[in-house]
Amino acid sequence: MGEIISKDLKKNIDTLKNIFIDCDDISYRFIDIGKDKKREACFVFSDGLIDKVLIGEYAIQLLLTLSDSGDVELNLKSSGLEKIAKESIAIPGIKEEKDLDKVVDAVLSGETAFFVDKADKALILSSRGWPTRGVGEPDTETVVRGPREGFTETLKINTTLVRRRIRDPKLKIKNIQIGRRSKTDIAIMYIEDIVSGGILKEVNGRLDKIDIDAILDSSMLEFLIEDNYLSPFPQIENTERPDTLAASLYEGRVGILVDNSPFALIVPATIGTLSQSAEDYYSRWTISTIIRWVRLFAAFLSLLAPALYIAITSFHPGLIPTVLTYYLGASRVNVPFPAVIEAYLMELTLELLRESGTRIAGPIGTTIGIVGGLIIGQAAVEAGIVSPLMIIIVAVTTIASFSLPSYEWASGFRFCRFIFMALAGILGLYGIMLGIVVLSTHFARLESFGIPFSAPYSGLGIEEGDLKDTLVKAPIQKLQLRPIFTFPKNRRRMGKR
Amino acid sequence: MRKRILIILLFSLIFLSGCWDKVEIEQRIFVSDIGVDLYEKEKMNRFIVTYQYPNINAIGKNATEDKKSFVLSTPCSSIFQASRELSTKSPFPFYFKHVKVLILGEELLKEENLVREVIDELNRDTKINKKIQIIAAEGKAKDILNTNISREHTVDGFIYSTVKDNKTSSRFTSQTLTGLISDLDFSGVTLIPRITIRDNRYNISGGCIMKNYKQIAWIDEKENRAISLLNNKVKNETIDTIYKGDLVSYTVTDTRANKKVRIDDGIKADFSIQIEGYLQGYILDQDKTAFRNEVLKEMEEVMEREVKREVEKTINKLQKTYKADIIGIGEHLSKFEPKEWKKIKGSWDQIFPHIEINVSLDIKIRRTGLTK
Amino acid sequence: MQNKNTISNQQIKALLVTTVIGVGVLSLPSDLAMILNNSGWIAIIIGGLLILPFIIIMDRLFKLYPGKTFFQIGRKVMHPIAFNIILIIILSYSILLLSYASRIFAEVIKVYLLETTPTEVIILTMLIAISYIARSKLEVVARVAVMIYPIILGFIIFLIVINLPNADYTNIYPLLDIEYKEIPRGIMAVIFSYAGYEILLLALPFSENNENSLRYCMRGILMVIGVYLIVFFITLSQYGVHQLKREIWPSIAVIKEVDLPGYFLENLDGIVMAAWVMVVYGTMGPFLHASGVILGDIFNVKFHELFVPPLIPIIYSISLIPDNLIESDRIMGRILNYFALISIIIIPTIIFILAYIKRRKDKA
Repeated sequence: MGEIISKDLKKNIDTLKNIFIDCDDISYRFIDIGKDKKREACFVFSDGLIDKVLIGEYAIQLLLTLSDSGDVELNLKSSGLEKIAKESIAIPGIKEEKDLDKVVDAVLSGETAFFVDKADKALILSSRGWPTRGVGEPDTETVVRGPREGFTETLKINTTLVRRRIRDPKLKIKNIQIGRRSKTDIAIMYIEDIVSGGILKEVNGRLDKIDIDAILDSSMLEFLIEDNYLSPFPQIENTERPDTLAASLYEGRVGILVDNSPFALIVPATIGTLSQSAEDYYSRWTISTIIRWVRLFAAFLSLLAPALYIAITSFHPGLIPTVLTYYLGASRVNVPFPAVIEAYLMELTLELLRESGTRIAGPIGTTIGIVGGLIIGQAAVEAGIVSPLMIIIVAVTTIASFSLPSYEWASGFRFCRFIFMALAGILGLYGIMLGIVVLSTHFARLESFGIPFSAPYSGLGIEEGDLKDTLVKAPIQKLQLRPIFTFPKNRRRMGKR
Repeated sequence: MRKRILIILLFSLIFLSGCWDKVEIEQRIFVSDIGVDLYEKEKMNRFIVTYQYPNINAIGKNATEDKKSFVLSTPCSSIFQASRELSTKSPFPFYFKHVKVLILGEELLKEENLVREVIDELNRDTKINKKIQIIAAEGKAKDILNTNISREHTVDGFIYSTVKDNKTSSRFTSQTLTGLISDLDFSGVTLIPRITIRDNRYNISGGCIMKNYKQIAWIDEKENRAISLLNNKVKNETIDTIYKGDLVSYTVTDTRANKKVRIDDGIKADFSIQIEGYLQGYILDQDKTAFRNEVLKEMEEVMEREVKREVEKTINKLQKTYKADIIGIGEHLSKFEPKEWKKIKGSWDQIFPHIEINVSLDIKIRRTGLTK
Repeated sequence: MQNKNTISNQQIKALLVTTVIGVGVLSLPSDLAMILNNSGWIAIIIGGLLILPFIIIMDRLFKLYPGKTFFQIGRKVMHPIAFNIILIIILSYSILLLSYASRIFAEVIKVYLLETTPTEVIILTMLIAISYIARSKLEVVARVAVMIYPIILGFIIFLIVINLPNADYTNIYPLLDIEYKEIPRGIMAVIFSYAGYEILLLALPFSENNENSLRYCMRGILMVIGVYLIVFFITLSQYGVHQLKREIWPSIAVIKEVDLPGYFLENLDGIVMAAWVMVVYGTMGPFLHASGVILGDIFNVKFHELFVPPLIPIIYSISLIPDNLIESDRIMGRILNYFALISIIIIPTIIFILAYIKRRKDKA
């Protein structure tokens, strides 16, 4: 809908004022430029979005003081605003624009629009300077050793952080806008001679199909483009760290940065990538290998520990060594609830504690966590409502779920845990096994942009050695080829070309 | 979509209606020992079965009661039938997965058919761990389990802990259910330990030879030791002999027994036993030192003579008196000379007493402890 | 990008191994011990080697008509109605096998895990879980096979390690006391345990590297032979040949012989049961999937998912027909043996011969 800018400044400004009626954050600054200060011009900008010093000193002041910006009349006839832009305004980013709607978008994005009377185009001056959080350590992904930079809510800063780590012209950053009203800027980043054309096409295709009012966070984008939105498990990875994003780009994956969100999306994702953390690559390979196995064990615990407890105490006390059985029996002697109810009760209590801990930040939050956990647990045991072993299991389960690097991945297991507890309560160990079997099938069915979700563990990549970096952490000298699950065009990343 | 959810919900109701096997762990009785005695031979209620189970309240840190275990008995027609009879007396159902010990009464052991019934019941059951220890009782099993005598408390049960691993002596040979059946299949005889009550304490010593599911003899501790030596089952033992008037005590650390069976104008079996160990005790006298090679060699010879005498006496008894091939000659033949074995299997009882069995012992004293 | 619905050779091998090692492995040692005593291992080896030629036949069949699935080849070389009849035979074999497997599976679960739960519930829940995997495409089935494969191998290694301290190796002797007359009977008993490789008829056309598929299939069968041999020897050494003949399901019961309380290894039934559920899942899943695909082809419909739910009540009712374990072994087991012979040996051979002749005719 291209409303063309008219040559009449007053008309333009009136149209704009009409569009921006009741938008009191839009300001209009009129100045006179040209020889004898006869030509009228106007800056239109949104007060809080721009860097006022920049506009003030490098645009308004220059235009005001330049007595001879050439003959504006002459300039306008011959080359329009171009001459003014080239000779009189010192702002680095300038564009010409004919379309009034685009001017509106630009103003709302923090650019300044510059109208001159009798010119049928406007200049868009890049002047974004809204209040922003500084680049600091990401809260959700801290490492002991490694860079401490994290993404912020500004797209430009984020792409800059990545560009610093990939100084290759083959790193392509494509900007698009998604969201009819939010017009959120999205940047698609990929390294052209590594990424597979198929994945890129798929990403672009899915992004094009989105038709929604607003994207408020990258997670909303994630849910719109993922393969199976009904699954409890994420099929797209997200990160707050630029180094993680850069490493993923180097593996041949595609990164999506969303304005107003410090979480970048990485596509495609597999079980292997979701269980990796940046720390694995910055520590020595021996400890990283052990930690990876610990994570596997933690995932298993977080999913199955309460269910196994229910199955063993209620259905099969014969499955554990005798000594353990007697102690288990002794610890549950006067507990009024059956194991299933006990387990659900404690899990629910723990979820409540978790939620309340998240709501209240700061010192009160941590206190509630400790108070709640210790005292309520202890009191419950003393009162004889739950058995002490249950408290231990529930606590270990929660700790295990926190040790998984990706929060969504852990949440998937958290959700499934309740289903497994119900299965165990009905059919004992058999129910648990059925659940595991259905869960593995579910993993096998999930795909992420055409790549099987269970990639290194279910066939793709076993021969090419992908397991070297998922099951264990091979030292960097052994990882000379990129993993195959992204089908990169160029596999060699280290050593002789 | 709504219909689908409705169907799923209705379907899942089927599963929620049951939870068929759910019994809470503190609401089970874990039987740890079973004792079987003879009651009335020809009637239905042929056994007296005794269950012993630990008192859950007395275990663990917050033990609220003192009595460590309970015992219940009843006459019944089979071991698992007893659990139904006793359900009239006990608050919770019985659970047999943690049974550790089976004690067979002396009278019962004399009835072959009944023993076969008992063993079959245990073998067929899915829950009973096939490695339960089988013990023969001198007297009635019920009395043994019922005696309220002071004993140290172990979680697994006193009898089980004593019997299960004869790492410290070879006065008895422990036998599991599988071992018993396997032995009786291969050679028709087996050896199970014997439990008695002496001086108000349990005593597991010696053994009972069973042939075809029937007891034929008791053997005492020394004989058991000899048999264990021949069967390569001795782990730790002390041999005391008199050497030149002084007592020499020798601790065994390792034994190795090999048997070779030749068919060479009759069946000949050669056992060669190698024993390694160290000198445990001699006499503290300035003139008598054990640190000389000749002395050690002489001591070895004395011990070899003594042990060989014991072993040969036992073999004699096994062959002539009991006609029981516990030392595994028949089994050896069945595995390594199957064609020969097939020919003589039927008349093994007649052939066994006339087999020539040679024993050669080699005892080595490797060290003399810390002093000379 | 993986749009092409191909499966890698690794996945084919895993699919083969997990489908073949199924319900047969349970009673295999005791059946063989009853017929051949200690030398049952010969029947295992011979049986395994016997089916190698048929795998080669299948591979050749697909090399004759590259790019075509089994159904397309069948329709080309035979009259469509005749081929439909053959498909129905294979389908009935498949359904019968599924019923037999479900029944045996439910019996085992009842014995070891859930005594009083009704058999119907166990079978029904298993079938529902299997229908989830059967409704996916072949690639997913192959992926699940690759995930189950290390569990089976790990379990076998676990068995070996656990039984090492306690086993009496002299029980394996006499090793070479072979009764040659009994070998054919022994092989008949083993054949059912090797059934399952006909899944290759479904999977080979989708292999992404046709050249090497044969090598991987061979490796798969060798691995199956190895697994059966290990199970046989372990159960033999733990039980001794006489007790082995008495046991019904020695492969699972052998874990009850392990009792090392000092090492916290007691009552390991739970682990065995867990692995067992996965093994059965790995066998029944591909079979139900294949049944769905066959039905889909008979009715000429692309989406086999539709046909899986109707099969479930059929399998369920057939599995409940025998009254007890012995009957199910006798009736279903015997029928299955003959069916297996027809479906996995005779039919592929026929199709291959016909295809070969047709190729010759086309070329001439």
